Amino acid sequence: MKHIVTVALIFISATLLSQSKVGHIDTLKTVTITANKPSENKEAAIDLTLEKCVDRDPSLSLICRGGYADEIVFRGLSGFQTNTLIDGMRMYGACTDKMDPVSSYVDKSNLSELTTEGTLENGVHGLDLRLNKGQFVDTNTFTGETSLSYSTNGQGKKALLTLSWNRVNSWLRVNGSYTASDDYFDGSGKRVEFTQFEKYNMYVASGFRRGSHRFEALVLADLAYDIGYAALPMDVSSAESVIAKVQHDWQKNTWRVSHRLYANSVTHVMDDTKRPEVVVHMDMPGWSKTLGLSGEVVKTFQSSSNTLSYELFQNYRKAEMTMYFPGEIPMYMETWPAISRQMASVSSAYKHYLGNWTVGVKPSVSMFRDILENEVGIDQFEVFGYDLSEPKNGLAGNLSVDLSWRNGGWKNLVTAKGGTRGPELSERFGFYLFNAQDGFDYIGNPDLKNEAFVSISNTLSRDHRWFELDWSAYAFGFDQYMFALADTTLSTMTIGANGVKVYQNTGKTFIVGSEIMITMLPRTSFPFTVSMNYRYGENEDFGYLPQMSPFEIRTLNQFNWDKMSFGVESKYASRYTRASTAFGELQSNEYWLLNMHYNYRMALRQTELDFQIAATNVLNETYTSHLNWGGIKQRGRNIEFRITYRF
Amino acid sequence: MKTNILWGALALLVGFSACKKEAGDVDSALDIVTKSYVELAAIEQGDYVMHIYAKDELIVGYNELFFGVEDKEGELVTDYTIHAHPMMDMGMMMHTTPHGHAELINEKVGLYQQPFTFIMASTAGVWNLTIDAHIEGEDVTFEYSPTVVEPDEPRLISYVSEIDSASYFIALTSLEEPSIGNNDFVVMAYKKESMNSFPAVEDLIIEIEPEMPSMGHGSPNNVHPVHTMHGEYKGLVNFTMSGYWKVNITVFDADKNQAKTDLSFDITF
Repeated sequence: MKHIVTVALIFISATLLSQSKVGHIDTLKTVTITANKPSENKEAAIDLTLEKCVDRDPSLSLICRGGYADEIVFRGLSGFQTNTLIDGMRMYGACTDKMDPVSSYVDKSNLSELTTEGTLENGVHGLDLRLNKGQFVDTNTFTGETSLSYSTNGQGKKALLTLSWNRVNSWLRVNGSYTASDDYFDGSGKRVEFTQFEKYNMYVASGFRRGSHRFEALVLADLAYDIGYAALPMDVSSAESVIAKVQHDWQKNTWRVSHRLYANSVTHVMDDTKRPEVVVHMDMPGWSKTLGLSGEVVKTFQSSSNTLSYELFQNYRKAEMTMYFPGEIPMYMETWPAISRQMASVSSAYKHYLGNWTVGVKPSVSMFRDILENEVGIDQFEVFGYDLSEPKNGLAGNLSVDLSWRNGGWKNLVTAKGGTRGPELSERFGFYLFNAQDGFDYIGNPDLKNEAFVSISNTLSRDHRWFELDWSAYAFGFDQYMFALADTTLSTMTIGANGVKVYQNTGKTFIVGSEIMITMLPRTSFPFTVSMNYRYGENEDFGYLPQMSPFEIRTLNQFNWDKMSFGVESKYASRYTRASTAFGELQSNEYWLLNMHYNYRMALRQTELDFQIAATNVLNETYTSHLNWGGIKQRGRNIEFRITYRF
Repeated sequence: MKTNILWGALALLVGFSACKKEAGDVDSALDIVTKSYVELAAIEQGDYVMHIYAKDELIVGYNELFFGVEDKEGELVTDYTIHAHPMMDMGMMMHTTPHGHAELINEKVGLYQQPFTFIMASTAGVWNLTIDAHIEGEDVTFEYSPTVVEPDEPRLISYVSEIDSASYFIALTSLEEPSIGNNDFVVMAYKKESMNSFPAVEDLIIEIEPEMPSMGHGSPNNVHPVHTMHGEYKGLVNFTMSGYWKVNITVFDADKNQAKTDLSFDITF
């Protein structure tokens, strides 16, 4: 408690200090992933993967379980607390072991940006991976990009083609890519087995407009095969998803109305046949299907705007586990019993502009209903004395208030949020979900109460001729924090598991942290960026929170000449001793990474040829982060060669 | 006049039944009641036919036999009582087996039910069922030799008590269709007092613990069976998945002295 008070005081004073000085931002905080214009691409170009882009943002960190599908974590919040959307669509992975965060079903080339101010409905925070779209233009254009790349460490290969037609009243964007990699090697030259993967990604999006109406439709298919998960006892033979969306926008004078109808489907099949020692062979397929409708009505007034939004969706999930023991009939259970969650939310956002000030108020309320779709799920929970033959209902709501101020190059934004979050399906209905991180079987708790949260954050920005500054400080407070704690009365299901954990509403929890990013522009062609982040989280029942990144400093020196650019990037992460033992995290040592990249652009009439060499972990450091499951070592020195032709 | 009508009705009935037997599309009242059962035998004795049914083939373990009587014309007989007594003839020796009393379960068709716990299969000798019936004031004895087979998974366990060195039998009467989740766990317990006496035991303490031997795990929230009546013990067993389960049993006497441990039933589904 003393801790909480001290940290809260520091935070409040930091907030007041920054407020008294200045403040305000009214644009969304975003991470640019693929810039549409080549000129904006200079920074983004060095990040060859989505993970690298994310890693450069100090508010985000990555949880790694192999060479593929890192999970994006925002400010230490759990994956259940964060709503990660794909272009505004709800989507849920089909793996009970979180092998497939939804960000794994997109390719970097599909995306334009990642906003960290996504929907809050029944969540503590929202991330939205925005897909690349075309534009309506005055003169018809046809552009494209194709690239080939090769990585030395793991023999990674990537081929990419993007075609884009933009017209006055219509646009079409087609994008396809193939990525594959063998096992990578860590800094000591040791092969990190089971880090291979292969991925096909296809994306088609189109839009047209007539009068004040705009229509948009998109299909995104992502098919990944033979994916190794070094930190887990199993791999994935296939992870396939299809996403489809149609959208209608209408805009006239001060009114704007949008509706989106979407569906997505994920099939995820685990595979243990490549592992040398398997006690019992298992088949573990999982499915997740979501159907949703959302939209909003926006009315803009002279000095204010009003938004009324709605969201309806249904997510069906099921995960099976069939175990084959020689000479016995197969054993069968459902680790996610077939469940449908239906949710309906409404929210309204009011913004008022007063000179340099903007005030925003956004209340929202969500109703959800969980239905067990088959007898097996109902029977399984009978074992724990639950009667789930009737649907389980829930209600969650939240309120967000923000105040921003802008003057000259100064901006400051204070955001306060509070609300409740209903349990996620794994937290409520998971049935002996094995977590390789702590070696426990996890059981959901159908009687979980909502988690309550409050958060306050302050971001101060300064845009100056010589420098750019972004400084954020934030705090989250939780009560009834949902976390799985060991129950010694239960026996494990998984052979060799350490025990059984059951989700519970634990006590008070807080997270505080701060991030700063300064870009110095002695000359616009030589930017120098430094960023730092610090995070601390604790729960009154089980101590340090998991998934907190250590103190990190990143630097980026960029030298841009006419046709060339050269960059040196470094990342330092401190030794981390506050690993969550309750979650099976390991302490990790400090590490320091050096990355370099070189870029040469050659103009060929209207087209451009771009040669790129990006070296990561130049010093060949052998390192791991405590965020990595099972302490798996990360990639050693890697040099990626890429050739891109833009037309 | 009255008799005429009676005869007429009877003739009509016989006509009907004859008709239906040829046509094969209308069942007798007894057939309808016993539709879900297997007819094991139809034994003719004097003026009567004894129909014997069971839910399935007879196994080593707990069985329920059903008895119905018709006369030779196929007319239903409801006014009768029976008691069937089982005996195993092994050549060198003979013994009975645990069994209960016949109970009239359907007055309309005169259907009796009587439980038998066969302690060995017909491969060990010949089972004989002597069915003493008292039909319409007349004593009639039917003889039936049932075939008893070993089930795929044993449904009967026997042990010698560490306390009184007597032989005991525990027969599983539930879990015919096991499923994931809660399952009733019901057993009957008998003691072998002599070759001719296997009374129910009503004062045992029985503890159960299910496990999946190949996975090495059990399941939570099971309820030990407790005595209800006539040697029946009722509890609850939980299965968290389908597959091969073993329900381990330890038996104690009324004073919690251990009579036998390491007993088990295999349940596979």
